Amino acid sequence: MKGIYKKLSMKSINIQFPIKDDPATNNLFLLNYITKDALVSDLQLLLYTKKGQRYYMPDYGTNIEKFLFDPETKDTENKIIADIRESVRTYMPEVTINSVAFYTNQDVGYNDLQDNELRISIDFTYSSDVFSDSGTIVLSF
Amino acid sequence: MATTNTPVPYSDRTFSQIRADLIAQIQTSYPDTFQDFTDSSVGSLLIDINAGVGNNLSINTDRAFQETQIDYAQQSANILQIARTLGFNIPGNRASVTVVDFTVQVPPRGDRPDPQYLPTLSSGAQVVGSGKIFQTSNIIDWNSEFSSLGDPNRTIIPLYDGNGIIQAYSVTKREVVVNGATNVFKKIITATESVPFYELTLPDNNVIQILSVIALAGTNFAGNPPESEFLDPNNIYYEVDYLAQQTVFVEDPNGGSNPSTTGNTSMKAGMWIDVTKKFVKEFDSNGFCTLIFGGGNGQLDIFLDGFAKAGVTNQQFLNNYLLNTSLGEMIPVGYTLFVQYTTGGGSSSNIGANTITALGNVQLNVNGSRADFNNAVTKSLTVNNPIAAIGGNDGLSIDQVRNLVRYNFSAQGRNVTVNDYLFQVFKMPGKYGSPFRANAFKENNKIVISILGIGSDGKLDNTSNTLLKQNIAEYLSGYRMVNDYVEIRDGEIFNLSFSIDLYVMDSVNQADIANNVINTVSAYFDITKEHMNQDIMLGDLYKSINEINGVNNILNLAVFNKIGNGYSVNQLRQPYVGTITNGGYEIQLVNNTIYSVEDSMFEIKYPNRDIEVLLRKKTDLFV
Repeated sequence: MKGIYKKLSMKSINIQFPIKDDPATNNLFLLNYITKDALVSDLQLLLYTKKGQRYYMPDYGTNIEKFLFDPETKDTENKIIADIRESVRTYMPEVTINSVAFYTNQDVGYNDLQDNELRISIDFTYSSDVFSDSGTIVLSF
Repeated sequence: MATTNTPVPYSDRTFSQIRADLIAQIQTSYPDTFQDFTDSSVGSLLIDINAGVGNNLSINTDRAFQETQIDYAQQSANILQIARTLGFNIPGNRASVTVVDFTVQVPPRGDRPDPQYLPTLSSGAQVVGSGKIFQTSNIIDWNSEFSSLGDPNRTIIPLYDGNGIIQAYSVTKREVVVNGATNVFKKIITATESVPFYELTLPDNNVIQILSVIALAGTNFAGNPPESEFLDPNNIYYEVDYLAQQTVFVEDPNGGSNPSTTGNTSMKAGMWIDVTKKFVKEFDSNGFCTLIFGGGNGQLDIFLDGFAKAGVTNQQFLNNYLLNTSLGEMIPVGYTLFVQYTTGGGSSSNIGANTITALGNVQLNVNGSRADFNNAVTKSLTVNNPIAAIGGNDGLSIDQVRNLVRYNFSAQGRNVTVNDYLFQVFKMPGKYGSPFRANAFKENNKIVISILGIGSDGKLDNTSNTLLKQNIAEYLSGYRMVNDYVEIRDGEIFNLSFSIDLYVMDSVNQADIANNVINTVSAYFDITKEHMNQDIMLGDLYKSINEINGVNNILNLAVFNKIGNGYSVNQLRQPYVGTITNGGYEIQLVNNTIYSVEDSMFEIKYPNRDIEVLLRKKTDLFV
């Protein structure tokens, strides 16, 4: 039976975000092997990065944190949505934002949030050649 | 896992270059581990951080190197530091200069002012205008018709009463004053200050000049020492360009400054002396002036007393070796240092004419027999500046320092080219005399410095006094190349006269035309605008004469060389036309030019009789 089962070996795509050690392989970083995971890492990095924070790329990221102390109105939400869409369109054009939902008191599972906590749930789809998929990420501020 | 080894390009410096190198390196060496190089990947973030750090290091390395190069350095502190390293002594604010008429009214004695009431004004007299203080640098003596530099500067005007009787004489001395107020800074020297290369920063950031630095034994001085202490050579620490400078040019008390050598001026004899008590002056980028004193101990310098005779011990020898005075002396403990300096200057010290009209601290000395007359003379002192104060500026700009350093470094304080000699002649301190005009040139393998003075009648003078020539020779000896032979001699004066034949208009006053022509030709030969070895091209003169109202045409213009009989005995090298005519030799014009020689200067000595104008109207011409 030897040689019938072959260990499946996949090439890694990128580094997971948030960055973590990989104790199993003793690598410095945990890596992503699936395109969707890779895109989720990239999307989180993009949306959590404040504009001006990235070396030599001052427009990279979003201004979401700037809106945290603005009035909790539709207008503020629209500004945040526009900011997210613009940033994703520029730096991750393969991803399409479908919807953005805001949670300020309870999350999607009706769990209470802390004071001044904001969660943003983003539904997205992506396409690469003939493949496409969708997913959701939740950002917490 | 690394699969191949790709050489890392270490020469790349910019963010984009380093980033591209790192991506290429990862793609080659870790193709299975990392494939996402989009901007949003964590890997790209780490690559960007590395590239950014590399780029910043490159910029800082470039910047640090740039600041070491005089051509490219941007920070003023660095440029000043480079300049000092290259031996350029950076000046601070420059003071404006003007002339002031010091006028007193003196009682008459016969047909002249009574000489016993002609006063003297001590040096350092202050006059004030527009909030700026100006000072004299020499004693003003109304008894002398000359300034301290030998220029005639006294005018006497009788003052009449209603009956036409002279009541007094208004006697005016026109003297140079320099902007700035004198200050004295005192510092008691303790063990903390008596250290090698002690640095003393003066409290003012507008220091113009250090007048004198003295150290007096004792630490209990209530006030400032008298002026005589500041002039006593035993007390003085001399300012030098660099501490290794062994000699300075100072006044020679035994230099024979007598009327026969000075030509009745108060010019001083100068000489070079060896000094060990010395300091250098530096300005920082904020304009503060720091004095840096020497590093040796004068009291331990056994070499000065004779090394062999002293029979030194090893310790003394070591002390002597380490603390020798070649770079100057430390100031001993238990002394008090007094720094006398002037502050002011800057572009704001350039003020208009007739604005300096007030007196500051002045000491006018009148020693006549009658006290009431003395008081009257003292009270009559008035001042006024007939011309604007000019020349003040706020120190050198960074670009000026940048460019001057190059020249200073190439000259190295020595006379290498002929022009260096000329430059040095005019750098000689004014109290040792200054020629009106000078030129330097080579002749028979020697350097000739040719000088011309100006007499009390405002005419060129080539019988300069002996002391001036001695001082120039002595001063240049400190800079000349060892194998240069330098000769100082009087220059030549070529006196000219003109005969100008003009066709003029009938309608214009003939006397006006003649006067205008004489004035035009005189102005063309104004000695204050001419230099030695300057050829006279007559084209411009023709043009100027033709532009005079009433002149139709120049029919003839003849130039003569006047020799002897009240004129200079110097003879022009250019050939003459025929024999002596019109009291001189007519010069054969070559290329419509009168050619000079290296040690000469042209002058129309008596314009009213040396410029002959013949006016012809249309009816006088044969057509």
